Amino acid sequence: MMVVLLALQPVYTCAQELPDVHEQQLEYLAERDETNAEDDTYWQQLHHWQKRPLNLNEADEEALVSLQLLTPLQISRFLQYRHLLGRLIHIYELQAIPGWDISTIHRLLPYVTVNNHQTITFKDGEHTLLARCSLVPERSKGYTNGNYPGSPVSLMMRYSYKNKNGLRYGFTAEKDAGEQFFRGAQVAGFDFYSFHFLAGKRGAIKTLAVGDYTIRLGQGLIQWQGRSAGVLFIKKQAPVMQPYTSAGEFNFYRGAGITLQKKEWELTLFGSLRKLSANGDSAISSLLSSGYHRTPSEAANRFKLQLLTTGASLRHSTSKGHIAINAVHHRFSHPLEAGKEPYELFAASGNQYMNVGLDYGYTIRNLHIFGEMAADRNGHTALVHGLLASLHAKADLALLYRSISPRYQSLFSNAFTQNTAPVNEQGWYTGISIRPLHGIQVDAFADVFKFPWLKFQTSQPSNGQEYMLQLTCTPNKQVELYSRYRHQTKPLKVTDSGQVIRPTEATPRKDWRIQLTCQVNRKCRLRTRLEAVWYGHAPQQETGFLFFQDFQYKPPFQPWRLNLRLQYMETGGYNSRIYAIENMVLYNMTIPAFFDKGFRYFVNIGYRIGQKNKFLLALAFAQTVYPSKTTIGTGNDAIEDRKRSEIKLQVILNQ
Amino acid sequence: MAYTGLGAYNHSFTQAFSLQHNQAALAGCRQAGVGIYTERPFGIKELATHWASAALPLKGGGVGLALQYAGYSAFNNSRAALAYGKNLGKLGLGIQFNYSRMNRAGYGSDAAIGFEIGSIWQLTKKLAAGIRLANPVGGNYKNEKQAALYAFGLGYEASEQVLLQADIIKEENRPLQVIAGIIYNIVPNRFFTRMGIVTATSEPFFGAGWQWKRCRADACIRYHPQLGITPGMMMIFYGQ
Repeated sequence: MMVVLLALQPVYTCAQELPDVHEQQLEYLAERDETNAEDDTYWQQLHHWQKRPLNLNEADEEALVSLQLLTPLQISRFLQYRHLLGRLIHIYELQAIPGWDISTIHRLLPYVTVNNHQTITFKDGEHTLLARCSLVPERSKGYTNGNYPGSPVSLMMRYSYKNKNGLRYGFTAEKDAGEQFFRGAQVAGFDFYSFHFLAGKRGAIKTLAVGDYTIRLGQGLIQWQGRSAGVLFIKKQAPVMQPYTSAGEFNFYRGAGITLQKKEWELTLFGSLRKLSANGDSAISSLLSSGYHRTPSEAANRFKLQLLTTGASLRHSTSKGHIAINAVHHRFSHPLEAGKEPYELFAASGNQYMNVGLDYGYTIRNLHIFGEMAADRNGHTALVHGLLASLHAKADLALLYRSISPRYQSLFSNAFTQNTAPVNEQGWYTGISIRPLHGIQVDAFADVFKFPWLKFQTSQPSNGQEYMLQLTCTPNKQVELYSRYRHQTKPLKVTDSGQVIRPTEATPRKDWRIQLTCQVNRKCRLRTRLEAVWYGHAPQQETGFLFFQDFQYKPPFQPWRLNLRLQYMETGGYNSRIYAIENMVLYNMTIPAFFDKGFRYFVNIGYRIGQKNKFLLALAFAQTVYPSKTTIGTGNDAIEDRKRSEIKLQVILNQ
Repeated sequence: MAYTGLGAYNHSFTQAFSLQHNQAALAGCRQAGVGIYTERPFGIKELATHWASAALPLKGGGVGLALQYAGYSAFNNSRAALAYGKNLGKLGLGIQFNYSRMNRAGYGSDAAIGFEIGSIWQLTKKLAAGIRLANPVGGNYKNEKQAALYAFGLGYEASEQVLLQADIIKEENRPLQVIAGIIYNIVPNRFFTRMGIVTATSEPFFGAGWQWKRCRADACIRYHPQLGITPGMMMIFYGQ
């Protein structure tokens, strides 16, 4: 897991990419969850701020939190500074704010402004229409054997409107590859439709959401939809209610929600009624989150289950902190049934779930404390408590303790844990970030944890550790070089022991990465990464290696840009897989797990027409070649070839 | 080549052999030079390996030639390479074409043509980084492909006399290895030492050289914990 790190150095971010600190964290999350989230909400928001920067003289705490680039201490100090000294006169004044270092300011600059003219009108709104089309030209088995009746083209359409008053509305529609279009299970056209509407402040109403939205409460023990990566990974911070604009088909609510505000009090109420895809008949054995409805069995599982969710949050905030009480209740149309394996003994079962919790955050001088305590309807508890301390202008410290009962049950939750979901875990995390010299930063963390009950592939209560050390060197504005070493030891059952109860063995995974980012000149940016992984014990140790070279070419005042990546990977198997983030086209980020021996390259050409990126056209082509394979993938996705390609075409219209 | 490869990531320490370590070193070539290096792994005559290298500065870069012979009459590998480096300011680019040949008594001989590319970025005045890719594709014998190689190196000039260098090298189907070393020019243009380690075989190496006018001679050893000592000798003749 888990990073990190109180403030990584600034990195060279261009409009098409997420900040590097986010990329690293998203790679961590992909590794932890072994899934690829389709959530691009944050990226859209960031891109919006690049075009229409956030005015720091107007921004409230929630807006600063949504930037995900400032620590709670930095936000608190900024608000105190502005309260004490009034509006900022110039962007240079940011350097005078206590706790704001140069790297923080560099990281923020692309997204913020200091504007002293209040110009909030509806005319500031922006319409965006996005259409994306992807295709894997090599036919997989599902198409040849008829299991995938639809075309191999995947389509996505999104319209969104947004203005400075906080009014947002739009819709999203998506068809995955292999799904039918206006036929079969998808007679309505796209497989997934989503609509969102969110109104900003009007009198006592702070936010009103209708349609699809996400809810994020406390530290994620009872409710946290969407993946969040921020400058401060250990503390979750985001606005409670946000419109849902992504194409993922699982992690959101559908209904209405409202946040009422009176002085320092905020009350959020929300309700949702939606259908989910699930396995099982009268009792549900598992919820399906992939969103694929291609094969007859996948289509039969579509919308099988109905979920009614209601929730509330009452929050009291001051400039120094907040305290909130949260509650969520879920009611399924069919009961969930836990599996029969011993590790599933405490898994979610029944058709009603409820969680209540209390969360807090408070800043005292150079300390920020935060946490959440939660319980489910059976009284099983979960808690997270953390502390951030700015020890010195050059040193920051983070501590986090978590204790979550093996019997604790929650849905749509996502807390700071080693496990994918907050359950069955206790642990201590200690992180430190030191900037001993100008241009040098050292980040380190230790996470020691235990799992009081069995887990998948772990046949007894177990424990583990994870350590990380990263040295980042930023000798000038053009260059960033970092080297990261991570050592994690996690329990895994011994499969060939021959005993009835299979013993658990501590399995180490070591990971060493070096990455160099270099802005050669105004046109050209290079990025090189080497990563090596060692998994397991000798002599069965598996090793992995990944190398990539990125070239980004963007001539100034020219409408086009070019990205190219050349990659080589060689791993002993899936256990030594390596994740690497890919930004093929804007807002479309994937973090594939690379394993076995092969080459990969992708090229992406972007073209813009009109001022302020009115019309953005992007075409990307990627290909992976495995010289010694004859089949790529398994099951219906198996391709009888040694190469797999991908073509993406995207058009964005901004008005 | 651990001993001769040190110095590739700094213009002041580059010499005739650097091009074999990273072709982009030719981009910073300031002085013509010819070098020969020979080593006898673990003292076994049949494993002896010989290298020759020449570098010539050109306007905006440099050109180089490298020859290699390893083995003995009945069992040997040899290679001739032509390299070119182009200086693009802070960035140096290099390309090299190899003609490789192997000869096995009783089995005949075979030849392959491959290529390597390298680049070196001058990140700061004292810090440079580079990558080198060898045979990512191509380089095929009739029944065998030459292993691809991916390397990333860093050179840090601690002072005018001291260079620290580290290379991370991944050869296809081989474990990752690091070659790290230090050059210390005790008396500039007169007396030099180099030392370092090859992690793949846990072999430390050490050597010292003496320069007299335009000729430099080095003697070096590498030590393998099980197989013993590999002695080596290097001579470099500097041009104008």
